[in-house]
Amino acid sequence: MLTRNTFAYLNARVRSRRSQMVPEPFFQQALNQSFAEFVRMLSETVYGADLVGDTLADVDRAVANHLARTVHDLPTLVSGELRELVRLPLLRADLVNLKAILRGKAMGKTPEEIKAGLLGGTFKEPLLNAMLQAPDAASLAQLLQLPGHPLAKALRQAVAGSPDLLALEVALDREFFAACFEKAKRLRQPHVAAYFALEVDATNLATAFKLRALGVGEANLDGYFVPGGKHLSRVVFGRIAAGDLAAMDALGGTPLAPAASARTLGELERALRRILLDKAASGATDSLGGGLVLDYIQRKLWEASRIRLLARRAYFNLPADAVAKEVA
Amino acid sequence: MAEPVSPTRSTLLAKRDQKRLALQGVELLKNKRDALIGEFFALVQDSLKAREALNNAAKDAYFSLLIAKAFDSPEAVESLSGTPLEVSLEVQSLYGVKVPRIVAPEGSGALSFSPIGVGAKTLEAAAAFRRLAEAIVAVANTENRLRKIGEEIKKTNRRVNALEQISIPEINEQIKFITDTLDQRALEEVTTLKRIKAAILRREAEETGEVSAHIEKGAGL
Repeated sequence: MLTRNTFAYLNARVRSRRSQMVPEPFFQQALNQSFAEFVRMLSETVYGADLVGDTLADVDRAVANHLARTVHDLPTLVSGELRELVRLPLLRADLVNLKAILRGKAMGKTPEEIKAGLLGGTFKEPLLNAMLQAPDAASLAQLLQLPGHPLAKALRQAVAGSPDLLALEVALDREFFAACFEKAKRLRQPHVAAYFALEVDATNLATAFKLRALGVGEANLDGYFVPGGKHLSRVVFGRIAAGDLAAMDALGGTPLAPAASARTLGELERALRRILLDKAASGATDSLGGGLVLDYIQRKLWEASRIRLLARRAYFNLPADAVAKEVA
Repeated sequence: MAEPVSPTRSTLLAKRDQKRLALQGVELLKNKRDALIGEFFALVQDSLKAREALNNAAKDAYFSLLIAKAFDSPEAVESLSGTPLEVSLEVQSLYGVKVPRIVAPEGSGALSFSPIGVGAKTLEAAAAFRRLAEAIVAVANTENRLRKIGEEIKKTNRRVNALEQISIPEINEQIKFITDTLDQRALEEVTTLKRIKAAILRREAEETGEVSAHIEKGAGL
């Protein structure tokens, strides 16, 4: 029976939405189009319903509205544990919003200014307004505690010891990825848990490359390493962050192997994106599990990124080569 | 018009000193102006280079930003902005010109936001904007220096012109006036003394009954 709380119900809704995704030839054609042609072609896709106007800001707004309508509403389709599961991949937007609020407060911005720059996450409007009025990070953590938001624990732990804004953000990011992984494990969805474990590894690998570029000292590395991954140890993380790219050989034979040959952050990010999309897609065949919805969300987010990128290429009249590698 | 001066010898000496000082001042100011012009033209090249570097940095930064906004969404990228670049200000003295110099902290590559979970493009954009901020500081330094030196050249030129065309001619005029007055006075004094001498001689001649053509001639003055 298709009740609101079964995977069969959720996956049927998701399958219907998946069939409306922007086809691959759209991205290849859009590489060489003018902005006017791009907007016209976009209006013929599912984004057409959200596209009002023909400026770059209108395209961005259409993408944001479309995501809110087709992705961020997914938790409202189900309840209980299923809602928790569906909400997990969407928590990234909440993390960005939470950091934007903390940063905005530290910069002395007004609640209205902060609110104008927030993404459509899973925070309800009254909670968001209360968070915008909260005087400090500890109060924010208390507010998040009430609806049992997964970020509440992460924020509470990050706030301990009254760190500065940068340390708070690092701790929050670290706790966030670890919390997502723990939550996925508790929801007894092996594929989703494996995906989040791989995401932790991918995040650690990317962080090591970033720290290498930034030249962060060996002593601070522990604060940046997210626990919970399976394929990238703390030792390999430390070696890569210190500039020893030979340590990437340790990734051979793991799901991260395709990224082992990357030598720049850009190459690494492209490889990791492919690995994560493939990992999400591998679970899409399970019609009675959370893999399908996870794959749908990841594909929609990637689709939105590609549309924004192509819109910018067309708007600023950049050569196709400038973005072709990224869109592929 | 020259200001009225008392035509005395001490004033004449003072005015001659003043003229000597003014001529020395003109010489010094001309040397300063030449040095400033040399510095100005040397800075023009630096300024053009700094402008070009700023344009390139801006191009890179805005291209990185538009790519970053595509990947990490415009809202997420914009939420990371707003951290001010702390700079300090030093005042340097260049040929007596006070020139402020903005000092940006050394590019240590340190970020003001957590790198975990932030896209590579956003990180690149942050680094590119950091370079742009440094390029803006460099342009501000060279152009501000250029503007200050330009103003000082104009000011020095005005001073030289004022000294050469107003002050020195005025002092010359005053010196001439005092000299003329003193000469006139000296002449009058000689004449008076001669008349007194003639009067004395005439009185002596009358007393002695002596008639002198010289006295008669002098009496006719």
